[in-house]
Amino acid sequence: MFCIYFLGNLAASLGSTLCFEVSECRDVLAFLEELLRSRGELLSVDELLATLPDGRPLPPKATTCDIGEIRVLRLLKGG
Amino acid sequence: MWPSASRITIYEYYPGAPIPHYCIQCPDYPCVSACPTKALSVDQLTGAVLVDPSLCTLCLKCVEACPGKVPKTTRGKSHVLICDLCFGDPACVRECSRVGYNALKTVKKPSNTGIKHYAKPPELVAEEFGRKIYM
Amino acid sequence: MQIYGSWGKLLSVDLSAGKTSEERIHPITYRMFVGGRGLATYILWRELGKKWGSVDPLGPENMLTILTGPLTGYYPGIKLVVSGKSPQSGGVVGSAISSHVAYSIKTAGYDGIIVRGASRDPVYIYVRDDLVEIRDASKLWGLKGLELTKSLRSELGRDAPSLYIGPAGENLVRTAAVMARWFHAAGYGGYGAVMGSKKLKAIVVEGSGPLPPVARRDEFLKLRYEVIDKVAARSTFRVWGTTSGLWRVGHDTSSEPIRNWVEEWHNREEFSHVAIEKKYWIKNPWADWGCPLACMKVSKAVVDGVTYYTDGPDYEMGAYLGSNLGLFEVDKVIALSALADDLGLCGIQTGNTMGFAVELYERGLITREDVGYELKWGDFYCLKRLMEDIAYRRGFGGVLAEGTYRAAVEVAKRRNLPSEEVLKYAVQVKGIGVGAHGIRSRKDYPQPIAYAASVQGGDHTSVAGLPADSEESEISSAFLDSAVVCSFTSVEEETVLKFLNAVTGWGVTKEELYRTIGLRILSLQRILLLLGGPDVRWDPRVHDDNPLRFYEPLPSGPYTNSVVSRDEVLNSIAEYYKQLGWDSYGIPTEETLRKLGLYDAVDVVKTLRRELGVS
Ligand code: SF4
Ligand code: SF4
Ligand code: SF4
Ligand code: SF4
Repeated sequence: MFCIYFLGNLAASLGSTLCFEVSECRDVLAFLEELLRSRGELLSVDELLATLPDGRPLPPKATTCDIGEIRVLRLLKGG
Repeated sequence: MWPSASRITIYEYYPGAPIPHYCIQCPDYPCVSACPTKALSVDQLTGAVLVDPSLCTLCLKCVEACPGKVPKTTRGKSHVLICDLCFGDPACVRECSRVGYNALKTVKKPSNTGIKHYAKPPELVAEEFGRKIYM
Repeated sequence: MQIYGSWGKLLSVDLSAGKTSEERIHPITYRMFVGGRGLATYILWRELGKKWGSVDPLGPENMLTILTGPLTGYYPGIKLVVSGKSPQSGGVVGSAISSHVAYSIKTAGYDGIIVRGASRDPVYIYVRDDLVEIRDASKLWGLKGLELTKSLRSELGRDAPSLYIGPAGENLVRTAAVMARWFHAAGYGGYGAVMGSKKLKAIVVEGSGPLPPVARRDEFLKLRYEVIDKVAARSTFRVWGTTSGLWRVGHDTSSEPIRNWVEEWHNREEFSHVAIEKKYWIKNPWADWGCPLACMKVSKAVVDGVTYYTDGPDYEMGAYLGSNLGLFEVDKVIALSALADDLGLCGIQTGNTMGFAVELYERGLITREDVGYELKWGDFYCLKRLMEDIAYRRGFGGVLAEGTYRAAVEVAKRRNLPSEEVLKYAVQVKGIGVGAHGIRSRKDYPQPIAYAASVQGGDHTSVAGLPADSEESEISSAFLDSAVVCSFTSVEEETVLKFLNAVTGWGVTKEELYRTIGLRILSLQRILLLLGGPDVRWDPRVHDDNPLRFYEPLPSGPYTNSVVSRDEVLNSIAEYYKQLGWDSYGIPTEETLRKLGLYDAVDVVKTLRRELGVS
């Protein structure tokens, strides 16, 4: 099981928690990007911040097998 | 961190036209010969100008002699500052490459004397630059 | 008490008395308010809080604060925060700006500069380490940005970091910005007019010492590279800066102001970023001091034989001086952006007011007789003229120079209308024009309460949001503006906090940030905003709300009919205030104030409640 907790407007349009059965180990950010595309969100991962549920940074090259959950929010407020 | 003690200074007289200013190691080292106290010497390995802090009196004769007015002084340092090429492993180049700008590179010193043209005070470079782009 | 990351010392300049001195700030004050926006709020509260309502933002009593934070110079990217009592909101706005003055203040041995009083004649402040002079600026007065920087340079004999105002600030235009490095503006708040009211043309700071000591050097260096590596990897931003959003935000996410926010979507597809780069950019990337990201780009465009220089146009300028005015021609947007920079106008606030004016003209609420010429969407010539009229307060420009809110009230008065009848076209919150990110489609970052509940009104860089103890909350922006970190180089809060702790030696936890430090700053800002005055007073029951336009369903695009409901907004605001420990009016409760150590606010708040008739 791999779960994503969205904050703010992302939660409003995608739901605050999305969980997936993932059969293979996928790169977390690539997985996230694909999900956004499939839901029609025109955001790049550059504009997002993905952390562990407690706010700590993701370990580099984290896969959906290493970690079970992430939290995702809009990084840039401004621009 | 001490920005004004950096031996490379970036000036910007026109928007978007940064002018890095540092020692270019003139083949004839006018600064070294101008120094009355022999505080300056040339590093045999790198060709950089080395300052002996204990001999420097801050008379600024080297600045006068330097075509680019490169040697720097700053508060709290009792000697001039000249790029010493970090004894062959330039920190500025490392930093610039790390962030991916790659504006600085280490190159072999050219043997001709033409490089002296690169030693210019920033206002002069700015003027030439400005004339080209901004006029 | 040893202090790290800051010097514990401000430079204080009294322009009325022509005197300068040093001012100590206790290390505990830094621990409580961090620096930047937080410290500004504290200083303003301490000094003017008791008489806040009567302080004229454009009078000598107001203060101008130029503050760095403990992370200035250490954290990659560079900003400082300009503040004072805002001539727009009547509250405190922390207005962040990239400027080399930020690190030079610190290397000159100060954490910031506080300017009090007002000079009779134009002056500029010159600081070189301990040498501080108030110098004659009569020859500089009236100069626009590009001329001014040149004149300053020849006067000083070299290139030195400076903050300055253009003609707009001199003319006390409420949408005037404090400027730096040609194109950088501290726009929100209107502090250019505050500088102008003090007859202060520029502040030049050269520092030759080191930055203040760091508490845990090894940890700091490790974190610094960690952040540099993360930030340098933001390649889209490096290559395109915020120009990447230029008209894409409207096209993709329906959240960009188009013709005074009548629409937030457009179907223009003829512009291309590659073409912008090829045709207009003369320098990309362009960075601020020590920045590993370099979101800036210098552009040049020739319109009618006149050459214009600006940055980008960055997203906000493309939106406010482009689509919001019905203008979709890149060269002309560059020209308007360059003009705003040169005149020292905040492009966001001024573009907001200009769009408002064109709509009023269209609706017949103002006419050719008022303006002197016709106002048309997308007509560069009338827009350019209008902008200049605002900067010089010529004709109807004098009305618009008061900013959208005040101009609306004035137009209503002239037309003998109730002010609501004109204010309904004013896309502003508490005197501050809303930044170029809409809330109706919900595809952009601001939540429906982003502006309505913000202590900085329409400021898109300081938005409110739920949950109140997450990065969505305004506390998060208050924190970045206080540590002083550029929001484009910021990373996870965890890491920024660690960075702060390594530099300062503090042990600030996330819990403390949200429950205490950040909340303290936000609560004080909120109180000062509600105290307001002298010409504006905000009632939470009326003004904690969106501009009416945001309750009109989107008329076009993929999110047609998308809308936010006022009920939802009011409910979310109530929830947000509750989570912050504020009452239903957004006034911090006595318990909260005591918990935050803001004892002297308890009585002020009692009076405030009485005045609002809500006890
Ligand atoms: S300033 Fe120092 S290094 Fe330069 S000429 Fe004088 S003594 Fe020599
Ligand atoms: S550039 Fe100046 S400092 Fe460097 S070698 Fe030449 S004269 Fe000496
Ligand atoms: S080579 Fe070393 S001394 Fe010279 S400018 Fe670069 S970092 Fe400074
Ligand atoms: S990210 Fe952009 S705005 Fe921030 S410091 Fe760097 S260049 Fe300046």
